[in-house]
Amino acid sequence: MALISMMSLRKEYRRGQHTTHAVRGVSLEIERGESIAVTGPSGCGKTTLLNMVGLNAVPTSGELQIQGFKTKSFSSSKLSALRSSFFGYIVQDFALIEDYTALENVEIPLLYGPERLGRRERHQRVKAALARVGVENKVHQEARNLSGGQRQRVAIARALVSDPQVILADEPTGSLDSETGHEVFSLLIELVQEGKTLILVTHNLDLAHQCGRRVQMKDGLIV
Amino acid sequence: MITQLVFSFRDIWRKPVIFGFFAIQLVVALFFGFVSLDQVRTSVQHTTVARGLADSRLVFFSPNIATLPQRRLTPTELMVTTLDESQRAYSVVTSLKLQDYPGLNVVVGLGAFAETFRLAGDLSAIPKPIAFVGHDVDVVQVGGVVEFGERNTENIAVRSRLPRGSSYILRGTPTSLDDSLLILVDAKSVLGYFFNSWQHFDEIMVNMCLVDPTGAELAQFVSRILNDAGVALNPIDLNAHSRQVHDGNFYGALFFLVFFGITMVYTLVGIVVNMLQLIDSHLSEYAIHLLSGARMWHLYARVFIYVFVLVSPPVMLVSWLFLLMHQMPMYGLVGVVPPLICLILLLAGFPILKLYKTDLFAHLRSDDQWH
Repeated sequence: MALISMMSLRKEYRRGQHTTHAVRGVSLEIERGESIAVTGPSGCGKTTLLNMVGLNAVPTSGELQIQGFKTKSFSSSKLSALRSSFFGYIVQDFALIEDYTALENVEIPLLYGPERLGRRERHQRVKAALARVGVENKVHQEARNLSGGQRQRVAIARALVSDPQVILADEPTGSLDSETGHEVFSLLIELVQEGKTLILVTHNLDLAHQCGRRVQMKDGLIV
Repeated sequence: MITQLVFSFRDIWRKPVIFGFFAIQLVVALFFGFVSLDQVRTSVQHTTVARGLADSRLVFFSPNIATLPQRRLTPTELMVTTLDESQRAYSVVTSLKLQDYPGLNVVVGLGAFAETFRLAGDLSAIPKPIAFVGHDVDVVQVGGVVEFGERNTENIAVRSRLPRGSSYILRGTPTSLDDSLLILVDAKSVLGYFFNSWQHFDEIMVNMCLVDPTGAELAQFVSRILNDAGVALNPIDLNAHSRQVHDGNFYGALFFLVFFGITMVYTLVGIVVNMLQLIDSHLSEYAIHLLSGARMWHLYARVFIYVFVLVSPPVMLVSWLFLLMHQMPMYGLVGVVPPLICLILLLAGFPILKLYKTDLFAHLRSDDQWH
């Protein structure tokens, strides 16, 4: 059984009379421990697909299954639990809260997770996640005072802190110089080697080639 | 919920000056609101009491202070004739205190006091002095005995409790008896109770109120007081005075209500605009929370708590001051809760609607996005 199955997934955005077909029927199966790169030109629907997989957007039609269960039948609390502990999300612009410290940023998924962790245990997990990505000395620094590479590492730590099974990365190296980008990407590949599943959205074909599978999208379809 | 409480306080802490500014503005606006309500309440009270007494055509007096030291003799006989015999006038002494209950307000009623204000039924067969306690008095109970007088003293048993809202007219102003001990005394004997009877006599004359006097009676009374006591009294018709007071209160209340309305609208619009700006500046943050497992109601709760913390202290503070000023029981604050909740829902509704309608994830997308 595939970890994630997509069957004819479609996503449309309506604004007044105008309808945009962002994803036009994507079918794809992703196995546990797989690394898959989704590439394609801007506006082809990669991020929308990632958002549907990550349960941040509801498909207009089609079916999405996680571990064999249809996501349509999930309650909002189940969806919330999956977002906080099954998926870890990394985006291009880091998505850190600027006036929060690294610790506070990384702690957020633990506040909404199904486990009710005490403050001490949360902080222990956060510090372990920050140590895992090599920024353990930045625990109490505000995000705005970190360099680009450090910020992305903190963002990765936040994606890892709940020990998710799937890492969703949307252009994770897009805002970094090439050297830092490679460091960050190596970190993601290490996670795959540890058994995590990686779905990477990228324009960077070098990175895409380092993933186990590559999917090309165009005009909302896999080509 | 505790998590959202912490995040809300963080939101406040990010811009404490703006938060404080709106809180103070709300206090000022609500203060004017309560002042106008108070004005309306006073106006309604005054008008109700005055209308109830309109048929009695009461005439009270405003003394000319400059004439007070020119007293020649005490017109005790006039006082007794007017108050005790004609039964078409009343007066009061309010400056007395009882030795045993120094904190208790005492109203000594003379002449047709009980009849004019329809207190305690027919008392004509009962010899005076007679005592009654106001509705809210608890230091003295019905059947209890109070010692009255300084020179001649008398123990008076409290006959009954006056109904809530009992009041009388003191120099043109309705005055409550709810927190007072009322003692009805003959004018003939009243001065005998005190060593300093001059002072009380002045008070009785100044507080005198004639019931439906003819022009001749009024002229005779005023001229006799002037000739005998040397005190010039200006008669004032209560009905005309009440209309004047009612108009004054009405326009005063109207002014305050308009001022309150403008200030309140200005403040509420300011708070809503501030909340919408707060939401705008936090959209990415909310999206991060959603990505991390938050549900929309977590975000709504955060907004709700922010508004609650902003609005509740000013509303409760002003309500508390209002109750304190009117010596009303503090459980009255419970009555403020429903309008407070309505206000919070109204203010939180706009930013929550904005959150509901916003695609928060759009604020995290890279260049590969659909709008």
